[in-house]
Amino acid sequence: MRGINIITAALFFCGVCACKPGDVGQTGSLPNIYPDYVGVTIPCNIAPLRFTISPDCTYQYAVFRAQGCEIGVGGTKEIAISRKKWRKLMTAAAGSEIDVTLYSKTDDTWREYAPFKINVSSDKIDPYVVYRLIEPGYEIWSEMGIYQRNLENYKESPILSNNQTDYGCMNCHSFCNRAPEQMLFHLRTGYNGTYFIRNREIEKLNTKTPETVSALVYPQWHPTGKYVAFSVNSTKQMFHTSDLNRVEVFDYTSDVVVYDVDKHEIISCQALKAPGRFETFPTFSPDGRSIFFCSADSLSMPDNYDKVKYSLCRIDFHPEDRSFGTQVDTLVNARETGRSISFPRVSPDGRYLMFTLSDYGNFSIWHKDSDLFMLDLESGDYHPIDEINSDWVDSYHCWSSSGRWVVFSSRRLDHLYTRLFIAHIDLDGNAEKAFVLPQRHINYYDGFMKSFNIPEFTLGKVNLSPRRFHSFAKEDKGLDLGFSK
Amino acid sequence: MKKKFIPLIWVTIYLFFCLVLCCADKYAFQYIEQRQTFFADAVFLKYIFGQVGGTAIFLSDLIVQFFIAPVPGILITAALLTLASFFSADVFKKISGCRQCALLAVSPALCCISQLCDINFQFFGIVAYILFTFCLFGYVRIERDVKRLCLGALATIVLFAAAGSIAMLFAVSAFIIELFQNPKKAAMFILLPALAVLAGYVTLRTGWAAEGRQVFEAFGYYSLRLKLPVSCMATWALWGVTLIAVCVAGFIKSKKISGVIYGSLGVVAVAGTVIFLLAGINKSDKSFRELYVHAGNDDWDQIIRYCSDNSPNNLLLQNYLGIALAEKGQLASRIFDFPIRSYRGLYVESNKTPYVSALLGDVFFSIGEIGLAQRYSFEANVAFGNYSPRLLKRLTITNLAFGAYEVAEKYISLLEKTLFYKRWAKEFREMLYNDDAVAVNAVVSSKRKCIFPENKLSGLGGLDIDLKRIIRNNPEHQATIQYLGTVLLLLKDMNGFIDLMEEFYGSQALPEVLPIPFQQAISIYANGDTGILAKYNVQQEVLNAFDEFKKSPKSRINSFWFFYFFYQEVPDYQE
Repeated sequence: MRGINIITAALFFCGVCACKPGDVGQTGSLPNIYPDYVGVTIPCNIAPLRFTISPDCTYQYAVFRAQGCEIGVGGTKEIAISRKKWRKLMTAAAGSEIDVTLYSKTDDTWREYAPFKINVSSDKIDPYVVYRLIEPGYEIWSEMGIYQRNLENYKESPILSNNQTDYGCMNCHSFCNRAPEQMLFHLRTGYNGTYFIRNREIEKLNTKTPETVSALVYPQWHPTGKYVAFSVNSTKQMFHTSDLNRVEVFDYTSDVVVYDVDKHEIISCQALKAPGRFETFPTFSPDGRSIFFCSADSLSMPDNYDKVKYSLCRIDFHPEDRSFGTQVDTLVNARETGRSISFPRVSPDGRYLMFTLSDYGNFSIWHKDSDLFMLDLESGDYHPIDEINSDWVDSYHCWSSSGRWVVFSSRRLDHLYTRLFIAHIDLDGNAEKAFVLPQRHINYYDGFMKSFNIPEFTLGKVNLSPRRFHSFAKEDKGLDLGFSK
Repeated sequence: MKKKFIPLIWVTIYLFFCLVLCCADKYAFQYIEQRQTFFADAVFLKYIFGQVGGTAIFLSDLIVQFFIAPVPGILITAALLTLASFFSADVFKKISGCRQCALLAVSPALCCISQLCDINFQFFGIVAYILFTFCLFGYVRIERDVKRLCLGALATIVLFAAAGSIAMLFAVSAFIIELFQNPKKAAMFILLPALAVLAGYVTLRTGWAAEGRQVFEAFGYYSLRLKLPVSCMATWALWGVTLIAVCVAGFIKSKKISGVIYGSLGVVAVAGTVIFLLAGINKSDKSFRELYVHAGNDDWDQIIRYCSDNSPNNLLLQNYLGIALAEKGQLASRIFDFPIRSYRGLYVESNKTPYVSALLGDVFFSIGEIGLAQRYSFEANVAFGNYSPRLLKRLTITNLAFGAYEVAEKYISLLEKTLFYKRWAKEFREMLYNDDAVAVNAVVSSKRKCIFPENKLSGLGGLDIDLKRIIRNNPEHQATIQYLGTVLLLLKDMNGFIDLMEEFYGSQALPEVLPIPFQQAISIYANGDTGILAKYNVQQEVLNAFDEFKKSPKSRINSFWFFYFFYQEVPDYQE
């Protein structure tokens, strides 16, 4: 008897789920779905995209069509396609597109929207993205941590949370060539230091030296893994009285240095710590023979905080003998743009450089006017990437290993919490419409009270035992770095 | 004892708990509620259940949402503690066979009240305690050893997942009971504490929990970011001692003797706990909680009344008084009626704790410095775990004032998922993307006018510069000039004060007849210059009083004159 009840209930449930539109009125307009996946380009190995047409409708139904594969999915609150159906769809649509037709039912009336396409690229995306989850606060935080998200499903797991490190701040995680086995990050209070993790070996460094203005700050690995370029910054934070940007962070002074991983030494050159200039945000070229960085005239702070404008510069680096070139090339001059560059990142093929441009300063992650730009390193031309920019903050970005995808942080959804957006970049450096990192629940971003910070692609899962790390961080005194003059 | 009296006894115990809670701190419940509530939101629930003891947190938040006034808090908490006492009493009775032992069960529950009065305690500790007593209540009723062992092991694991470190107390208690009741087979029951340790170890190993004290000790129910006193373990310790005492009772053959001993012991324990509890309450914390709650309810009269009856003896309380006086338009006129003698009594320095940040959020909101109000309220909300309804309301208003409608909408959407704030949220939803609706809301429109157009970095050049900008932009916002004028008086900055008067007297920002302390300051500055006195309309009564003051300063102790001339010499006058 009980079995019969279960079967009856299951049949009823299936019947409800399979509810398809009856008499349909055409709207002729595109649906306003949330999150917005209309016309986006996605990788063929991405997790299922779930969305809703309108919270006001009583039922919604979607038909996905791709290369002879047709899948219908309905629901009261959302279109939540199962992983199995999604994989089937992706297999059929890889390299082409999915036609999506949506129907909504309100007060017993069905409406059909104009169909839209989701382009499915056969370029796979790196399977993981690593980010820090932190409230967009200033001086107080509760729990924060570095997390990894499997992009092929919805699984998120902590790499390290600050409740394992005496609730201190942790920041600036960075991977060598996106390898999960080789990373670094800083802990700022409690067990403060810079931690290098290489093949499960942990190393703690005390990175402030008498010759540098601060401990090491913004990192980027050399492709060989033998060096890491860092900025050193004497930083101050202040708050706006009337501006929606809320907070301002600026440097009183800053330089760029290179850390020799094997010799535990910091090296630099006059051009990277020029008097009268602020240098920051270094990054190596994929061949490891150039360092790109941002540089600005140093001005009296904080009075001139909104007059500091960074140019994009480049200097040679010779990894074989740790020497630097003598000439600094200015690739994009702030005097020409009238604006300020931050976060230069070179594509894996070395052809393009993506950077953030904002009105002033280097704290573009809080600047409403921040947009992403693409520089063609061959021609020297650069342009705003209109396809992926929004009218709110679009900032910190990272290239995938193939160079066909970028992930970047944007405050476009609620203007406060940064969310991750992913965009396809073709061989010619053209971007396509970005989509927000898919989540299992469509209202995930509405209720989630932390920002996604510093997204970095990785080629696999980071395996770091939090317990082991905690014991190490607590006991290890850290290695003091030397400065090679 | 006749069975028909048993319900009466429990009703009496319930009323007793109500009384003790009322005496201990009736505002503790609203204080908890203003820090956390329940949101019917999938992400919120995921966040809750993602923590060790997620079920207890979930139940706690469900309960706490009703603590919107002192009475429900007292009634509900008393019921929970009575329930815990009932389960414990049954356990004790079962172990000892002595009915009078039941009274001993009340003491550990009473001890929970002292935890409630700790500013860092989290209410889910009370829920965890009830779940623990319930599990033990079930455990001692199982007759067969193997069955008891198996179910005890299951209960340890389930309790650990559902309620956190209290599973350790359960496991150890069960083992102690076995030691006394079932000594021959007690050894196998060591499995229970071992399982609790294993569960804790696994959570630590996997990173689900961070610290040993979170999974093994009573500290798991406190804000872990703090260094906690050993007294946090009092309930557990008292429970352990009581349990051992009860177990010993099983060896006393004469029921009459054990009844007398344990009945007396129970009375002494209850009385002792109540004394310990009431004496141990931190009076400053209690006052702070009360004023925090009144400020959250915009109940300014209550704050002024409280501070009139109880001299606010620390800066935090003085800050709340300052807000209340400013909101009532009395700050400038009554400041010297209260023992505020430093500008820090009007705004303390941030110490990066959630309590002070929340307070500063209130202070700057009252002053009209909306950027700083938003900053501190945001930080306090973050530190409280992101779901403080009081602070979410504040952030909604500040964001509406800024015209940051998308952010305000996020908070409104969250508050709409609460039981008691959804009406407020729906009302404020009307203002989203609707400047006309904002313009007719007295609070939001007034605060919006305080946001002056020329953006600058807050505090650059001094707070007084920012406040003057606010006054120029919104002269009707009286609290700003009252704060600024009063701060200048407390700094004895006569030039700054006169500059302020020079700029704003005769404008909408200041009344024609200035507040008395302002007149007193001008009378000092004028030094008999009738032109200055007339310019600022200093009243004849004030001048007469100044003459009196000159003859007998003690007659005007609560005046700016006394503060200005003698504040450094106050100790002499106090003698």
